Amino acid sequence: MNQDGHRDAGRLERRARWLLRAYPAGYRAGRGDEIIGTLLEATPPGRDWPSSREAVSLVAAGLHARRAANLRQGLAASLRQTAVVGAAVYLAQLPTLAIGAAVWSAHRGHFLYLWSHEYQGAFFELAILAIALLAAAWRGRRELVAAAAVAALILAVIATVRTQEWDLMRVLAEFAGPAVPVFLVFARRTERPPARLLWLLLLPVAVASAESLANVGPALFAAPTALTTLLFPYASDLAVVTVIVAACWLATDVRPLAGLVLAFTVTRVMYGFVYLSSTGTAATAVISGWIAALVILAGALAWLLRRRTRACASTTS
Amino acid sequence: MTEPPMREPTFYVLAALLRGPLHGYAIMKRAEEQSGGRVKLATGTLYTALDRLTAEGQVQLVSEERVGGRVRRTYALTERGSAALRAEAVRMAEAAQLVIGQARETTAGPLARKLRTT
Repeated sequence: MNQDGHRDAGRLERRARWLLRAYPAGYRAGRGDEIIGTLLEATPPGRDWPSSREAVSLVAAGLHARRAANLRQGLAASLRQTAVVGAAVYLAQLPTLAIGAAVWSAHRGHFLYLWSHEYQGAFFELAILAIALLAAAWRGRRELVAAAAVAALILAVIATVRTQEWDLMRVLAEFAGPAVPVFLVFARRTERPPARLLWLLLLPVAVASAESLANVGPALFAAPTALTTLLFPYASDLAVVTVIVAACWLATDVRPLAGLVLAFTVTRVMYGFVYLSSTGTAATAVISGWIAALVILAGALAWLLRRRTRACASTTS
Repeated sequence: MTEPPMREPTFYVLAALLRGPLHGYAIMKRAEEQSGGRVKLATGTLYTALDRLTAEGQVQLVSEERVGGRVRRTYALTERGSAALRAEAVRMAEAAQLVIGQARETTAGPLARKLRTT
């Protein structure tokens, strides 16, 4: 009986600690043990699950603590981090294109060809440099961002001169073009985006993978970029899940959703410039529409962030 | 600027500390006892309230001990918390007086009769 009691308490504690993950890590480190101790005392012996009332209360209090922690940093820092997150999600499409190309080539049975051909090799090196650039931006190391950007430019110029193909320059301009200036202006070592937002960078990979599975590989360069495929029917399930997750997150932290909206909007604008203008469709209308949407969204987000910061200031005063 | 009325859980958390410092679980138990079983604080709610009250200077941490390998912290009411609690009690008494006083003045009604006998 006594042994059973110990086992129940162990299980209860494990489950309670799992629920405690709703709190920010810093809070858990300081208060986690105390909260668990109180919860164990408050739970009748023999139970190995916290009551539903306790579970709901822990998760709600955890989200409340997260929200408070996010609001404490102020509007300017929030907007800077949002810009960096958005630019990072946008730039993450460059390595994603490389993955798409690899899937496409592997499907056609000439995977090794990717590395033997000089132009393809340069494209993959560019993708690796883009990952280095992302890492440097996320850590707030602006000097490393500049170094990686210069290296990528040199690589693209050399490959372009040798192969007389402009595609690599175009890819660099399309993806690094909007992202690098944002990193150089807004990235700060003292206010890095939290590590838990890193999964957002996998979003373009996830969308491109869904596309690859559904469509057996996007055509290299000719395919629309990863985030634009959110509009296509076969990626719609993923898009719905993403929107639900992002909407839930909005309840505690506005930065991830704002970053996604920025990345998506810039993608659409660039898509309008690069692809639609070359095919001679109504590019101007599309581009101006998306620029207007970008301005409206940016204004709405700034208003939302300001309102939340004010709400925070009034509760702490 | 007038203070907004205190929420019921906050009132009972502060009231639980009137007789002396307590740790988290003891606060929960006393709040339940003192409210006649009506205020059953969940752990998450209790610590959200304690965080806020500590930040507002109404409650303070007075001691830390280790029980069964875990930290157990004891909290006490500050002068500020005590004043806020007293102000809320006065407000509630005045609100109650408004109704009870009028009920006594009327000659009929079950509430007035009940109040007269008690």
